[in-house]
Amino acid sequence: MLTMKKLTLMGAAGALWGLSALLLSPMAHGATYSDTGAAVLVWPKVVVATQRDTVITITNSARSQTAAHCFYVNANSRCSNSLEACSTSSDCFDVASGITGNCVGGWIEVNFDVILTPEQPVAWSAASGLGNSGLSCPGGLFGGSCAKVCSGGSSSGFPCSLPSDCPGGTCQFASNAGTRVPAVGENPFVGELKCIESDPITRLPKACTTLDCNADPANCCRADLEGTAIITTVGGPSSIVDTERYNAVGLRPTGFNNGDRLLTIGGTPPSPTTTCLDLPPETRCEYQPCSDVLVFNHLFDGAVDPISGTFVAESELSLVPCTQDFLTQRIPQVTAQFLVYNEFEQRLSTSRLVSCVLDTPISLIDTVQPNRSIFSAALQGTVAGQTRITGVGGGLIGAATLNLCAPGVPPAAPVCRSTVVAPGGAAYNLNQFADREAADFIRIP
Amino acid sequence: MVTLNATWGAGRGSVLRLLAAVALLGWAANAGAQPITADSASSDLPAGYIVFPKIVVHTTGSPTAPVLPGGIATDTLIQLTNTNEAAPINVDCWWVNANSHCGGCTTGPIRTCGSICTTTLDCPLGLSCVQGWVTDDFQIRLTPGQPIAFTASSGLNRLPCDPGAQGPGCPGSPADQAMGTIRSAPEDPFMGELKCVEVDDDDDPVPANHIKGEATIVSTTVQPAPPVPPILPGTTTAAAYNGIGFQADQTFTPTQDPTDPLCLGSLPPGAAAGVACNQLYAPCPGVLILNHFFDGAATEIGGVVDTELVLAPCSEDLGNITRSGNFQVLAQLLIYNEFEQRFSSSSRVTCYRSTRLSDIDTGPGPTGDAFSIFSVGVQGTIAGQTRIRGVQGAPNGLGYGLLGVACENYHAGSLAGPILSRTAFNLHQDGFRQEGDAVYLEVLP
Amino acid sequence: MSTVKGLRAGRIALVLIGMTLTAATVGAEERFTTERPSTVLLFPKVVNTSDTIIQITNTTNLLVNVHCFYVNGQDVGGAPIWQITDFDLVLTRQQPTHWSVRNGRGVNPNDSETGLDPGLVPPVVPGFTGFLACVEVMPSGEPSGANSLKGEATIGEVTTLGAPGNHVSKYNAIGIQACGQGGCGGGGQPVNDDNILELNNVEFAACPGGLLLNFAAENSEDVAIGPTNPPSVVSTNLTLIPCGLDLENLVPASTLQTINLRNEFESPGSVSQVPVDCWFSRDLGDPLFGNEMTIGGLQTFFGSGIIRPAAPGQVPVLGVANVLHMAGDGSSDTAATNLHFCNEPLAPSGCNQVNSEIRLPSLP
Repeated sequence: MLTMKKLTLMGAAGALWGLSALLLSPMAHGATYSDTGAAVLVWPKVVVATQRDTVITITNSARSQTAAHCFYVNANSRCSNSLEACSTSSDCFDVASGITGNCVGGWIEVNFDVILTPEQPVAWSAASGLGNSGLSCPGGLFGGSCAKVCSGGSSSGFPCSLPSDCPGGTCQFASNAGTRVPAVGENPFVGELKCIESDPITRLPKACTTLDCNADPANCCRADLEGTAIITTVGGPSSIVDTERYNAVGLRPTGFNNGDRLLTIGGTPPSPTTTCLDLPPETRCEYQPCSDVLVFNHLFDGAVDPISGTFVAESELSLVPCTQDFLTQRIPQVTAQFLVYNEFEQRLSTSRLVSCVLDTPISLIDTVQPNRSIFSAALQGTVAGQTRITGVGGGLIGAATLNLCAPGVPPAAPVCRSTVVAPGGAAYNLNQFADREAADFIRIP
Repeated sequence: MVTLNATWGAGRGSVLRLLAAVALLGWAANAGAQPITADSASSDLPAGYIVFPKIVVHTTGSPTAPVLPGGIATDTLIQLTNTNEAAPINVDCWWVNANSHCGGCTTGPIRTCGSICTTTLDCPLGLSCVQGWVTDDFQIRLTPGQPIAFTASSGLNRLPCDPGAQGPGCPGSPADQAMGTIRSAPEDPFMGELKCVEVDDDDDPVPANHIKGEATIVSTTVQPAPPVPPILPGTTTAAAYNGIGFQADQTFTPTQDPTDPLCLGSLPPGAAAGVACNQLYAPCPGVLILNHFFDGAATEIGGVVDTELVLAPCSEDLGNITRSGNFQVLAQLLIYNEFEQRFSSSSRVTCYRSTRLSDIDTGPGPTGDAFSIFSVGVQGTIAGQTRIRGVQGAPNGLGYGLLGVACENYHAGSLAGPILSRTAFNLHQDGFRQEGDAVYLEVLP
Repeated sequence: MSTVKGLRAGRIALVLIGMTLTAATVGAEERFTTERPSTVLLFPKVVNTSDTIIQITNTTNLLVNVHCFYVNGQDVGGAPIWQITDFDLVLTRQQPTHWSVRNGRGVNPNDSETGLDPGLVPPVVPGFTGFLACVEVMPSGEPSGANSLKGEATIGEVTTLGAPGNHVSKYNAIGIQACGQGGCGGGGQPVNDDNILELNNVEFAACPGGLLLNFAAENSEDVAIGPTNPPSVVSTNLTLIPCGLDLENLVPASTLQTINLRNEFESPGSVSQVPVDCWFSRDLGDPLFGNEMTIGGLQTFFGSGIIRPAAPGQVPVLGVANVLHMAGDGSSDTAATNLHFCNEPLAPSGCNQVNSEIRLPSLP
């Protein structure tokens, strides 16, 4: 098992290995990325509520046109009797019959396409979506200020200025045509967003055999997408506007993709000296693996913010499984194990089933009574903590938010959860450690 | 029948008695320097893995259902001792939360649970009382020979001889000092287990047997604070039992692979390929033997007695709450009365079962209890013997052994009357399981 | 009419059957136990100051004969009177039985005590405080080695709500297992037919070298009751009997013990030369223990102790602890636990198993 001394050694070894891997091989080092272009983007936390919305931005970092096939996952729990969204069973009381239904976890998926012109950022509100009227580049002859790209031919999607730049094709204004982002369709909404860089016609990832796009642009595996989420909260007695921003978590390609519906993420190499690229084509990895451990640095819930000395911290954690089966609509379930260290180096742990999406205040991870949680400052006795999260039965991707709230009168919880608006909050990405050995999958319809 | 009388100073035979005394003393020679070991689970020897099957909490501090003045508050005092007088030991412990909730707990983004319940009768119409299974762990280090005690409701923030809680006898060397924090039970009310394993500094189980423990369940009337006069008559009950220990095989070499289980006896059939025993312990008992009074019996001690039985599987997967939460053992019960008449019944134990005897073969609650085979009216005698055996099911890597403790409640007047006193005791055992059981610990990130 | 040969053959057959059963149910580690069927059962605390219910069960499918001995350890003028009363029981297969020591149990199928009466069980005298020893025997009286018996004792009484003495506590009988061929670590032999039960890891398990006691500091606050019902107090009564009996010559067993203590801060303490004459039962606040186990002496709320023979040649003891939990409103209850056996022979624990014996009255 891992201890601090092992972690130190492994960290040093990992760093050395990672450096040599980067220098020697395009595929030796994996894990997810939130600071560079990727082929798959995951936004683990998309929320819509009264006075709360999430603005999604997605950017094409390449100088050629690209497309993203995206999936909203609605993880709202629903009443078994009314199918209305709920948070507890008490929300499912039916006045007419006098019967209370169960509040059970849900999973509803909606997919759509986003077409991105060269180096174009696109943004939309989860609550509103993006319709035709919101497209920046309508294309055609009236492209406005949008760039021109080849349509068809061997240089399709690449920038052009003259028709001769597009052998076999035509030089037209770049267009977002084909883009339609639906509103999430429910308020409140809790869920995630996944976007996969894909062919706009087939809506599948393009088959590719190399990472070198300079040498072989037609067959290279592209990683052009970058994204962010800005969770905006407006309202409250003081009309506070609070924004929390995190980067979308990206999966980069490995240099191979067979263009089918099964996206293989990582995988166990056939031998210690090989990589998952040495596996047979049907099981060969197409994307770099999800991380083995997510490292979540946070303040314990209820800890007094050391800067203000007044407000108390309340953090939320969002986790989604790496593996998703959109084809069979099977709810992904991963057991997340949490190892929590406080500033005394004392360790506590717990585990929790991540069924589709976990989006929760951290002091509700292990209990429904926050004051008794291992994420509670009152129990831990320190302000800061480190939580290491690993998935059993699958990888995990996550993001976190820190809210600073007005202190409640004990034993009441801080005010964060009783009002919509916190005095301030911030979202941030989780750190990572090591790569998962086992493969994860995304199966798209 | 012969009554033998002996008084001091009788003349005749005094020489014989003196010689006999000398002989007795002479026989008091060392039998050898081998430690006593147990060939299966035992509650009277120090062990490497110890289980407290019955932990109950319901106090005035519950945020959801606090006990009010006049009500009965319950807490469990746990005493743990490091019997190694020469060296400190590390202990990993897990709270197993087996609380039932109306409608269960949601599997959605935020884990919310219905109100805590005992039976469906406690729940609103339409909701069932659904048992959960969640684990939370903590790790401590005990100094040589150190005893500690803590209540399940409060835990222990800082151990005596912790670097911040030094005392006159504490070791000076930091490596020998106590460490860790004992978190409180994760919910209040709480019903579940506590399991502890002796580990090394790397959290690997060790082939050593130094933990002993007792649990005392104390209930008392909550009295109002002065100047409000006390509520009389009050009641206080106390019931104590020994933790059930599994001795580690000290000749076994642990694999130190955190994905490998602790094997109780042997690796159960159906374990995944490549899985081996991380550490080997004594096997689970083959049969549990419960000597009890039949429910409703009026004993010579007074009152009317009923018995609560707690059964828990020997095998657990502490890192996979879904697997353990759905793991079911069929318990076969053979009941003998004082006429040597035999009855039988069976009961499913899904991760944890706490039940009155007469609710085993009838529905929960007092309805139908008079017709139970555990009822004194049906049996016709006061005392009985019940033999309990876990039925071997399909091989799945987990064994089908059972552990248990029993509690007798002495009521005033009838079973509906208030409980005047309570006792707890460990079950006897017969034989041991050949098929083996396994305890998978969390795979710590 | 049975002949001697026939009786002997029958006895041999029963011994063989017993050995078979022994082999079937016994592993390689026969020992003193509080949860396994045994040949000898010891109930260290049996009192008639309240009442005690004895439960004994035959866990096998054969008829079992049991010879029991009440030993009265009441003090008269500072010395135990060591009055012994014995009786016989017969238990059919898997039969549980029970009786109250205050009332005994008659052999009368028409009485209110339903069930097969195991035998005539005498009541004990008023004020009886002592222990009960039961030995599984052959029909002819020789000790058996079948390890068939288990037992519990329930002490106390309950009357009405609010009555001050509503106390009930329960403990498991301490069992001494017969070794059987190859048992007790490998050197075991079948039980012979003399009246001496040798506790030497050959015929029967040897006495454990010590007992482990976890205790709350005497007269300290009960942390489990705490502020719910203050002021609360906890008190522990320790009952000990020597590991070894001479029921033939009616010699009260006597031994000296040392209790090595630690508090939660690991501070050591000790109580030396604790005499256990026949039967010992005192609260931890008794002057005999000095002040070592009180909150004032221990300095922490909890402590642990190892109870060991004070010197080579002294026999170890067996015992139970009964803890009184008293709340501020006057309500209280008791809870008994079996003491763990100390099994670490190496220093500083130094719990080496000790040979001893139980002498039954000679057979005619």
